[in-house]
Amino acid sequence: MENLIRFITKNSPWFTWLFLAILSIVLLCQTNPYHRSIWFGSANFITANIYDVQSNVTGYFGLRQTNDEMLERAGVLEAENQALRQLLQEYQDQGIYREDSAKHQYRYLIAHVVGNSINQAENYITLDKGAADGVHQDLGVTDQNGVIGIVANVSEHYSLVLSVLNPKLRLSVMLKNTEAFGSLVWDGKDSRYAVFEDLPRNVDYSNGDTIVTTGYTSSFPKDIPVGRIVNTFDGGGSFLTLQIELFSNFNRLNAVHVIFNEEQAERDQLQASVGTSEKP
Amino acid sequence: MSILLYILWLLLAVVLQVLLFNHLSLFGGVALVYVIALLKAPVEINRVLQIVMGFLVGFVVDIFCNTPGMHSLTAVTVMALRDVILHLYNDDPEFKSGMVTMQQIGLSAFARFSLSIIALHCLLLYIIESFTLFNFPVLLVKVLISVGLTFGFCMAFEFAASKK
Repeated sequence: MENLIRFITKNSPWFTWLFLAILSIVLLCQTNPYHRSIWFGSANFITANIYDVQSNVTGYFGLRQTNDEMLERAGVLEAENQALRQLLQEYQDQGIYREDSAKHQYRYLIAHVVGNSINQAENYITLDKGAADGVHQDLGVTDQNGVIGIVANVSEHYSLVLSVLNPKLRLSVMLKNTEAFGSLVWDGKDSRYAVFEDLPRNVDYSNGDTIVTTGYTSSFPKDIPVGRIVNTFDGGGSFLTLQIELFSNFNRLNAVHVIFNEEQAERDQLQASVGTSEKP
Repeated sequence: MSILLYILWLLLAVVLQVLLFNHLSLFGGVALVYVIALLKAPVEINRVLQIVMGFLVGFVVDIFCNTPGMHSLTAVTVMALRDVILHLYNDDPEFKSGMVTMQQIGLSAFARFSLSIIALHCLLLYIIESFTLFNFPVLLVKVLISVGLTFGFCMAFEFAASKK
């Protein structure tokens, strides 16, 4: 007994190390961001508040470029809006259009990025909107240029978003104006590029073509821009892998949209009941 | 008093790490300034306490980086080995209190000691990180750049502090 006590006191640093190392490994093994405690991430009350103060200062950097992008986007949307209005008027005149068929399925909430990283193996974004604002898991997040990520976890006033720059996120995407779809993942190399996997070989495309969301998962509506094709990796087999240049600049995220899908709950329930629910 | 001052230094290093240095990356590598503060820990601090300190610092950095366990496992291991490594380069029996500095153990010993600790830390950290995403060139670049940047800051700080 005495020997044992002497052994423990003599080696107490190593026992301390062993205990804390095991504790760290337990934390390390909680790899699923959906199940991880909000306290071990940057969206907890204390951490997010500190990031919030920081972003109040740094949030003003690069606003001119963001502003230009917003104006450009507003111009595109304005033109599109005009065209749709005209079309709607035509349909109304012909009596094809009925009032209740234009139900608004999506709702947008503006949030600000308080914390963000681009240089880790798994990157997360912290937003200043949380459960109190109705934000919950699986909501899609976009900015003026394209897709940003999916909400993984929420606290009362903040939320943690799985960035596109996180290999744990697999986004269902397709070539614009075709039905050819695959999944978008990040390969961990460069924050400007991601990889489009599993594109069937028979699809016609060229560099510069736009990649958009499919709308197959409830997080994003159809046709939200993601990026453009810059390169093809041909590994043989019946599928191709493409390098995609992302439209969003993750280095300079500021205001983003959280997308609420009014039909998400109904849809998820249906998909779960037949066992086809896709989760990243 | 020296220990209290040191703890303030440590806190400052953690704040600088999470709010500033984590955002300044060069090809994916970042300067890990909190390691500099850890490796300079006063030698009179009990080894158990040093290890606990390493864990706490790593844990806080982890929370800010959303990497639970990664920095804490690395820092706790490096702090467990710190005194062992220090004795490799410095066997002065007179050195019983105060922070590890260039004046205290000499330029050459300090440079070798800090480079060993920093290299060990970066290597461990990015190897743990690569369990989620293994890519050898990325790993190598991250380790080399992080070691270079951190060691650069460490020596620059040491020279600046010794001028006073």
